[in-house]
Amino acid sequence: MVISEGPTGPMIHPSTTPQTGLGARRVLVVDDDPVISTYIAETLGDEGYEASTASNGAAALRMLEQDRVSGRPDPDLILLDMRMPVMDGWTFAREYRKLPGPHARILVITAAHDALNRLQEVQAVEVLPKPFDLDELLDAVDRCVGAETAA
Amino acid sequence: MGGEGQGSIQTILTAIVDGVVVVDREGRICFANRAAEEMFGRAPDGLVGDDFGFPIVAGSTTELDLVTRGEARAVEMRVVEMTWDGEPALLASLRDITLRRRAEAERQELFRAQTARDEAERALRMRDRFLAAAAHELKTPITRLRLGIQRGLRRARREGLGLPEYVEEALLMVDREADHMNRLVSQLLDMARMDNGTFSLRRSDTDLCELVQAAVARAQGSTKLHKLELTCPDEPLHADVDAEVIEQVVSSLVTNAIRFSTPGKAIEIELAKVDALGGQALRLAVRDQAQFAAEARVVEQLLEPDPDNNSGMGLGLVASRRMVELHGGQVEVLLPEGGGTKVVVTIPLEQAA
Repeated sequence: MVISEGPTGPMIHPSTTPQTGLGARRVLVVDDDPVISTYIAETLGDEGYEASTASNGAAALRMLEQDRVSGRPDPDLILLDMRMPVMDGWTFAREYRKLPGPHARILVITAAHDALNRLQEVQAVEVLPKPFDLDELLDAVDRCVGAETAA
Repeated sequence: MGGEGQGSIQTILTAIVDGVVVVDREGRICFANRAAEEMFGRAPDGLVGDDFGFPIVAGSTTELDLVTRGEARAVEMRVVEMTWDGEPALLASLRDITLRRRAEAERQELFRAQTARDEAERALRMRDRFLAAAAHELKTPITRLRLGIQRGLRRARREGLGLPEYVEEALLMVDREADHMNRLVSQLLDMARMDNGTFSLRRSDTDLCELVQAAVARAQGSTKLHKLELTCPDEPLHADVDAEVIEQVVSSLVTNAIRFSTPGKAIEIELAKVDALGGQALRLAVRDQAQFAAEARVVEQLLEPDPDNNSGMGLGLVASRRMVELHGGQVEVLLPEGGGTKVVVTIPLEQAA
């Protein structure tokens, strides 16, 4: 299942595999490029994840807050682009960590040349430089989601 | 004036450094001190009785251009009214300002040169900022391209759709070229940063055999037309280098070899430890069968980007050379017997202190 932030609220798209139901690992994709975030989300959906997308840091925070209000825990992983309008990756990470824990792990996806610096800057668990292979992405997501809950 | 006072004044006038000339109402020189005579290039007592020759106005300060014994001089002249032998006359004091003028001219020239340099630097910085922004922009469509293709192929496979082989191969080729484009974009970015000094190496202990093997394997995966033959030394070869950068250099050289080499012929890649550059060094040689004009100047051109030169090796080799040089190494392009091109990269194993 793929959930994305549409003009009037969250939109749900069916993915090409049946929903795996409760227990599916959840990933939030935060990237201002709608083509890229859709491709990523659909691919994740195919692999059995429940993926949602937000087009900038502010939208992502809104979605997370809404989830918490309705009693849902944070996603297992947040894929975070850094350069976005309205609210960038750095600000999102800072604001997100102000919320009470536990916090989802963050995997940074970025085109910047000094991508590795992002690890420390936003306390991410991994950095995936753009452009990446879908294979690389899935490996990274598998690695980062893991079995344990996020700190 | 009294006789004695006049005598003392004459002594003073004779001795002082500035030239002093007294000119009567008719414009004739009634007195000139030694400095003035030296300025006009005359013997002592040579000026008295002559016409002064220059416009002379009381209360004025003017600059004269004199030629003394073939040398041009600039002289500042100040004129005041006085009385000489009871008659009204004009006193001109003459100061040699040649050196002062020259120093001023030099200062202005330095200032002009500095301003020109500053502007050139500013232009360079602007160009680099633009390059970086453009390269960053390019990454988005390239990412979309690759993700789109990969997703399409995945879905087709997943749904058991048998895509015609030529379609799948076409898509894989597009993905590879997009990857190549991405590397060029990264190189552009790197060059911009090397220019403005913000590029720095991250060195770490690297197993070079492993690195070269991986890069060659990846490159081999991209072509069925060329055979890549790699020779590595028997014992492990480690060096303190920026692994990502060196990997880029190796990929770049091998990819270029593939692009230009005659299909069907082998591309030989050799990694060895050698004595060079004042110590132990690693040497990577990539020999292909690319046919270029066998002129020495072409070899030089391969190392410089030249939009008019059609060899197309352009960016990859230029960026590679810079990165190798940052490691204290060097890149040579040779035209070996038997045809083809051999690119040799030598990097010292020990970092220069």
